Amino acid sequence: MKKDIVYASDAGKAAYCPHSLSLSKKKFKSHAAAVELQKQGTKEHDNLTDAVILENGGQDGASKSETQDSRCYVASYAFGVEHPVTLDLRNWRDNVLLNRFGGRTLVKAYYLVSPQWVRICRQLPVLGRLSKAAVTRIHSVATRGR
Amino acid sequence: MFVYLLMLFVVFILLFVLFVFRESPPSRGGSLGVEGELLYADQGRNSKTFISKKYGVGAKPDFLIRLKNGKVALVEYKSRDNGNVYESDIVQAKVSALAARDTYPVEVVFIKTKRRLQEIPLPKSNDALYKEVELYVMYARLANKGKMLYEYTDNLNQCATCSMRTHCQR
Repeated sequence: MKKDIVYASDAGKAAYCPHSLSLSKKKFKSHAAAVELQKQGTKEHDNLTDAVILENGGQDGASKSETQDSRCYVASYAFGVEHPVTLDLRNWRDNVLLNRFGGRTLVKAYYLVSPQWVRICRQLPVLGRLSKAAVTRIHSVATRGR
Repeated sequence: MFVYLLMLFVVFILLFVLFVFRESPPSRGGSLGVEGELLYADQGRNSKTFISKKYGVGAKPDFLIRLKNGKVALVEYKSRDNGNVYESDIVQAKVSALAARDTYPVEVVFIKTKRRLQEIPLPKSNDALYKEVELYVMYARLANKGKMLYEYTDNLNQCATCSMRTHCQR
C-alpha cells in the first residue's frame, strides 16, 4: 500500500518540474550546492519547530504520546539546539536517566516545568544566566568519568 | 543518588517559582506568525504521517494549528532566502492538507517564508481539492514507479537553482 502513496513533497517537486522529479527518483546525484541548501533548510526547519513547540508549552497534540528524542528545553535555550552540551545532556537522558525509575520521573518532571521556565527566563535574563550555570554544572556531573 | 535528590529538589523549587509567577498563556503567534493552538508539528521520524487512502496521498505537514476562530490551518515553512512562494509550495501544501483531512478538518493553509506569510483558502470538498493537484499527484506517481518524465517547467529561471540541473535532458 505504502508504495502507492504519493507524498506531498513529491507532488510539490512535480509541480516544480516533472523531469527533475523523475531524475531524482532515478537516483541521479543532486548538485552539491543544492545538497548544502537542503541541509541548511533542514536545520532552519528544526529550529523553527523547536521554537514553535516551546511557545506552545512544549508539546503538540499529536505527539504527546510519541517517543520524543530532541527535547531538552533549558539546555537548548541556554546553549542552542545542536550545541555539544545539549547533545551530551540528551545522550545522558537517553542512556542513563531513562534506564532508571528515578531518572524517568525526573525527566517527566523536567518536561512538565521546563517550557514555562524557559518562558520566564526569556523575560528575566538573570534567570537565564543562572539556568546556563546550572546546566553547565549538570553537564559536568553527567559527563564525569567519560 | 545524591544527584537525583539534588535535581528533584531543584525541580520542586522550579515548580514553586512557576506557581508564584504563573501567568496567562502567551500569544501563540510567535515564531510562526499564526495564532492558535498547536495540534501537530513535524518532529522527524517519530512524527505521524497523515495518509488519505482514498486519494493515495500522504504527508507530514510542518504544523497544524487550530486558529482562534476554530478553523484548522496547515502551515508549511520554506526557508529559501528570497522568501518567494512558488506554485510548487502551494501544491505541496494542498496535498498535505488533503492527506491530513482524514484526521483534522483543514480549511486553510499558510505558507510561511522568511519574508511573508501567504494564506491560501481551500475548497471545502476533498474531491475539489484533489482536482486542483491531481496532475502533479499523477506525475509523482509515475516518477515513483520509475518512469522518466519529459515534461519540463515553463519557468527557465527555476532551472538555475534546480538540484538536477547537471543531468537535465531538456
